[in-house]
Amino acid sequence: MLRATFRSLLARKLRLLLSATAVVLGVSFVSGALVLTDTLGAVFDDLFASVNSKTAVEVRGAQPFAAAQGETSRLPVPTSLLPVLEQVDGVAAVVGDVSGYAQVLTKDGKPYGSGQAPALGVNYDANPRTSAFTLRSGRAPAAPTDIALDASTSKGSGFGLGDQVTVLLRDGRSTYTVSGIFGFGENDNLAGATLVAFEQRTAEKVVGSPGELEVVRLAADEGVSQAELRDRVREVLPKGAEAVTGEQSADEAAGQIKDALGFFNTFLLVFAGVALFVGGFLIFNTFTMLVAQRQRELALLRALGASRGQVVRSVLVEALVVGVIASVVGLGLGVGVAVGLQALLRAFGGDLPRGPLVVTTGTVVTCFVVGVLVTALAALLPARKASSVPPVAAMRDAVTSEPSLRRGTIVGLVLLTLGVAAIAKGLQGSIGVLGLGALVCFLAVAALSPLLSRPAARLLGAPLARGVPGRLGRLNAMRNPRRTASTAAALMIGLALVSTVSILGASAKASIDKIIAGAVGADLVVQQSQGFDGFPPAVAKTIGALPEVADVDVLRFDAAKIGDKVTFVTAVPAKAVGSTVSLTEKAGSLRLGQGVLLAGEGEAKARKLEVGQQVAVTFAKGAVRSYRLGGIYADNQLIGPYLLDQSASSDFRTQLDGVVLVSKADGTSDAAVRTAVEAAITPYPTVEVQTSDEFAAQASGQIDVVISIISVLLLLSVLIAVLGIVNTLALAVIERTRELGLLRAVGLGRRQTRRMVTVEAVIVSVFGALLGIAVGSAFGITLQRALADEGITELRFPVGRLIAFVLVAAIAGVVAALLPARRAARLDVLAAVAST
Amino acid sequence: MTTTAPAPAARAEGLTKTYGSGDAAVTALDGVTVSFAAGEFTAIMGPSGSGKSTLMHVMAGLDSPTSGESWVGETALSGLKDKGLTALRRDAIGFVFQQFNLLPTLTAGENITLPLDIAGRKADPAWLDEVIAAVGLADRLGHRPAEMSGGQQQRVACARALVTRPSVVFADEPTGNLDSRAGAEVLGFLRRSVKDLGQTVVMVTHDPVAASYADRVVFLADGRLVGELRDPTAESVLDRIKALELPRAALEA
Repeated sequence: MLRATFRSLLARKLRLLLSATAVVLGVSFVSGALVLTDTLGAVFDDLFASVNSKTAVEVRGAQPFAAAQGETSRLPVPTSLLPVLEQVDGVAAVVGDVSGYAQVLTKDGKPYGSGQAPALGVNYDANPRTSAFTLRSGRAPAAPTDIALDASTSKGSGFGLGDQVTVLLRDGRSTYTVSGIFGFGENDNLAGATLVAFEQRTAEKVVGSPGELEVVRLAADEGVSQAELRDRVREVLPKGAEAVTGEQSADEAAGQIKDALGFFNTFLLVFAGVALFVGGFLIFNTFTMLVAQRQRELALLRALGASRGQVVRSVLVEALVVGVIASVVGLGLGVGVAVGLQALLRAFGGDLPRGPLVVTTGTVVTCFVVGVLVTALAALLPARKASSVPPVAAMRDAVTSEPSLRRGTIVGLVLLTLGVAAIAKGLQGSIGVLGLGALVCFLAVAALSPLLSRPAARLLGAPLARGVPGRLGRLNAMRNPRRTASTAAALMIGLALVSTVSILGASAKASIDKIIAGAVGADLVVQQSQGFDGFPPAVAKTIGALPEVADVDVLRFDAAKIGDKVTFVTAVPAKAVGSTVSLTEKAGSLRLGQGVLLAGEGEAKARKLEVGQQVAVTFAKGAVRSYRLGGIYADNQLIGPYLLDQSASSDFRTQLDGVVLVSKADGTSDAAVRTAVEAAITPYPTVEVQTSDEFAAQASGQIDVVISIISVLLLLSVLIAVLGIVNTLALAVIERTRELGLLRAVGLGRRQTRRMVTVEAVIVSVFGALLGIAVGSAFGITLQRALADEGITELRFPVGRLIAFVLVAAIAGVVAALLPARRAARLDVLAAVAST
Repeated sequence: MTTTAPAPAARAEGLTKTYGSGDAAVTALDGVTVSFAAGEFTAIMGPSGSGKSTLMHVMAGLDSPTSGESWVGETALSGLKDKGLTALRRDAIGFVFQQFNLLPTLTAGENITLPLDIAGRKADPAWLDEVIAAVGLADRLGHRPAEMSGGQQQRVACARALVTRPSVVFADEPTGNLDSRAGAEVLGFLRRSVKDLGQTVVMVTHDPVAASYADRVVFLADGRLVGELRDPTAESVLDRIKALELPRAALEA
């Protein structure tokens, strides 16, 4: 029995190869994502371990609250603690670190770096007992005008020893002389950040705040363990400070980066999952058709005494072999994918430390389990069908009678109910359940679609059915509704997801446009074009002094904790409300002042806030203050959920500005004020000026980028579905060899034969696309409704884009038909007619 | 319909067909020269392996000869590439195979007009009616092949073969899969199509009864033409087979 199985495997190499390709692609994505995460995890572990190798204990401020996404904001450590720590028994050396905004400008005045990684200024720790720096050349910065650059920044910017470098700082720009170049052991930089190291006192002044340190690192005397020293240090620490071992600090630092990578990993695994799901359809189709074609052979086996179980097993073994081979190839390809993704990350996020690729046992096992399981599960139904072939079929002419569609329809309806229920439950906050619901819905639609495929093929084929080849192609698409439906269903999945994303994206854009359109009453908006932290207050001051400018209003943003939720707060001058910042009053009064907080309508509703009540706000620097809720405004994209008076920003983590709103002076033209502001901000190349319309367009432009990235990744699954069409058609061509021979004998030309196959492919692919768009629209509408509270209030159908999807699907159908059509046209007429 | 000097509807000169090469070479046709007159019903007989099917395939442009030449009407086949052969099959030749003659997705009527539809031509309604009436299937045109008996299916195939008014209809064991009653219907129709409709039919068969419907029988053995008979009856065909010492058993295989 096993031998017969392998023989039949070999006899159908090409078919199985095509279906295996789908699994290969899915597995390679899984493997790529896992290898990448493991590799980068190991690299960052090493990096931070080596950077922190000399630090026995780290003293740092407590966290007022844990901010979202691992970004820790901690209280500062007072400088006055240094002499106390020096006195602790077992402490060999002490250094107080600061860090803050410091952007190197290139020789032509542009900000250096990708803009994705932070640009940091730090103190140069020259003490060999504590320093993580490895001086590569020159000397440590000693004078207030000296700086050292990390080797990567030096290489990338072209600044070497003795060069004059302009650095953008919180308080403006200054020029320094490069005195030294440093690295971190073997690494040229620290996780991609651009580092400018100043002499200690200078650093404290230009990037830190007087009397405040970010962390204090301690080196231990010989024979004192990290834990011992930590415990001793804890004895002397004041309230609001904490001590951890160097190892723990390194773990935490690496952990934060790994968390961020973990998000990326999950993102990739979701796409791998989609690809595998679609691949499962392909496997299912292939095996169903193979089993149908082998009906006589299977019946013969049964007639010769093979049990049903043996027949099931023989099909499953075939599937297992395909799964194992696909997993091996996918695993290997995945390593390549990991290398490619690393290059991609480097291209977007600056330098990543390098290290050997890590392929763990876990990765290997996961890939095999996933690849084999998907293949075997997909082949289970066809295998059961194979076993139901009666032995007597060996004697009969193989008539593949179509069983009724009723059972599939019932199964489909049950699945649909379950899927919709799961989605409804998932919308209450569980993304996992939501995904599962979507998956079940896809299965349901796939089970129901055979009902639709005949009428759909008739309708879609109508414009193509001029001439015999077109008519025959349409009839072929209609003759086996299940096959047409399940081939189209594979394409449906990818297109449903792309459509969902497109509809959500268009809706989000429309919603943002609506909110932003009225949000800004200013003539010009000045904000950061690169980096995250904000820009120096000097910018606002300079612009405010221009004769063309009547007034400037500064917006600052920071994270804060309100109730038990970490959220964002915005601080503006009271006078801005109603002039440069347009707010619509919903309740109370929108008059800002000391001790007054305003809240957005959505947030107030969600948190059940009432005008007049006291609200406690914990700021990133630790201050806890109570505010009276003065009023509620209609949701405003620029301001966000909470608004405070400008004076509150002294409790913010940085004293940098987020946005400056500019009002022009009376009698000044729009062009004149823009020219003047642009000229004024030239010294600050990370700052840009926009009109309020441009500002709104930029926000929706960012959504376009996200949609594009997701769509490209989902195209992978569309590609797999196209492979599925190729496979189905190729098998159909084999199945219809005699028919094709007959047609050729009675005069169908080669071109006409190709056209016939192509028409069938186009009908199947367009049917799949339409199904996908229908399902995607349902998902899109559901999600938009669910997210209406989160700000996606408008529903928009990107009609042009959706039509483009259908056209792309039609083209994909033409491409998918190329090989099968060629094969059909090349068929030897005599052999085809003679074959039985 | 037979005139004094009937131009042949199809003919072959020195047709040779060899499969394989060297020691393994098999000669299926060995210099066959034959001519099929227009308006005549010819049966080709011979035991299995005599080359009768190969002769038909080569003359119908389904297979190419190793050497020799064949013509359909005035057209020499050796000069034609796939495109020309396709057009020739579509316009000048009709086919009836032993089995699987019809597309399962098309109705009987659609199957009959298929060659015309492929060519993008309209059927001559009078001719179409005549052909359909002759096969006696006027009331079954809307049925699909699966809904018809084997005999009915073969009659549809015959109608399809005639619909283009081809120079010649090649029928390869058209009754091979039918019981004798259904076979008689099909043969009767082929006979009438020659006699009443003036068509030319060449039929490969191993059945003396089937051959007796023809105007002329040519006998093939070992790839060579070994004799012919005019106005055959089943008995005369059997006698000739005995005379040629063709093993009967082989004929019936």
